[in-house]
Amino acid sequence: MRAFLLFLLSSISVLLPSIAYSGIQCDADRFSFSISMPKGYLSGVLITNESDDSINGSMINEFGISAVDFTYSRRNGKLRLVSVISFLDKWHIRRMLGNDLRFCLRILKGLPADRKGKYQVSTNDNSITVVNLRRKISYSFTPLETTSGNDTE
Amino acid sequence: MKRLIMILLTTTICLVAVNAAPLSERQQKEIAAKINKTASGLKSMSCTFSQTKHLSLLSDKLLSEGKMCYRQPDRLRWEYKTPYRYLFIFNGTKVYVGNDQRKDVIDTGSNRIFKEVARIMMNTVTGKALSDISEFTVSVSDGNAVWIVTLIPKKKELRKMFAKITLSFSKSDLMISEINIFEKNNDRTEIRLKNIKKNITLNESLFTIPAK
Repeated sequence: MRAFLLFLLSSISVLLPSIAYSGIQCDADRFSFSISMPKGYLSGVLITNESDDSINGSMINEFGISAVDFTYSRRNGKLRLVSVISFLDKWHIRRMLGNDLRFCLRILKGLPADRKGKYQVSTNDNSITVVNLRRKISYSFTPLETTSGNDTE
Repeated sequence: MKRLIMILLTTTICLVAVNAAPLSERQQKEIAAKINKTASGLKSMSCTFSQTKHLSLLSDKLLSEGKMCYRQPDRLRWEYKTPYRYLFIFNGTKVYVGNDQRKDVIDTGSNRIFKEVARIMMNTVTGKALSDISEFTVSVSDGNAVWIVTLIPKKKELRKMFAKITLSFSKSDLMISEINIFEKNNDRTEIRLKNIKKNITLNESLFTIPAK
């Protein structure tokens, strides 16, 4: 009987966190972003969430469709692309995107950035633009200001 | 003790039982036909919406609210008012995307995401996606007050982006009330439509692509 009760209680405790989640306060940083490539354009919102040893980020287009998910390790300074939208999910694009986002993230978060010769960084008001000089790809980030209150539950 | 077990069992069952009741193939076809009929009679609509993007990697949610207007055959105005101002206008092959900082006009022919999203948004908010058997495998289930239509993409390009899309239609007037988009990376976008007004006069200026 005790085992049965324990089983039921553990079932509930597994299910409840997802329901109780709505009370969690989030420290995510939000930016509007645009990536201009010679043959295309992608824009939307970048949301980052920091912990002691990593920075996780999701780039979603304005409609809410996920474009890129990544995780950056503070320990070894590496960025791993967790998921990339299908039409960008090619090995050479992933490699370039991973390197570029790693550099952009370091600039955005005030971390030491290497390979500065490969990129041009400029600021305009509160926007930051990073240009990959070799590939002619421009990444722009602007902190988002909300129109009312908190946007997370 | 028995009572405690009953309470715990009931709680567990309530928490777990979220699946909608399945229907026979004939029933599914009948309901889909009815929804299609309603959709084909829909000349225009306007509503407010709330959108919740569930981000699996960040264990976070992004809540947005706004207003939507649709007019046959290919006009859609999708306006986010909170927490960020964004305006989308789909007008034929052109999409306008604007916020306080940036305004762009995109040709859907050159932007694949927008092309797919524009088509899916228009076809789902109106219910037309049900008749597009070349695009989706359609199934219908009974969700008490609503019919739940599940669309599983058939085309490779869509399958890479979306695992499935579910649409909830009110049983009383067969109008759409909720859209859930399940992405391949386990993110989910939930859109709830409220204050729906059907077949109303909508000024063309609502769908005019603004000058940059």
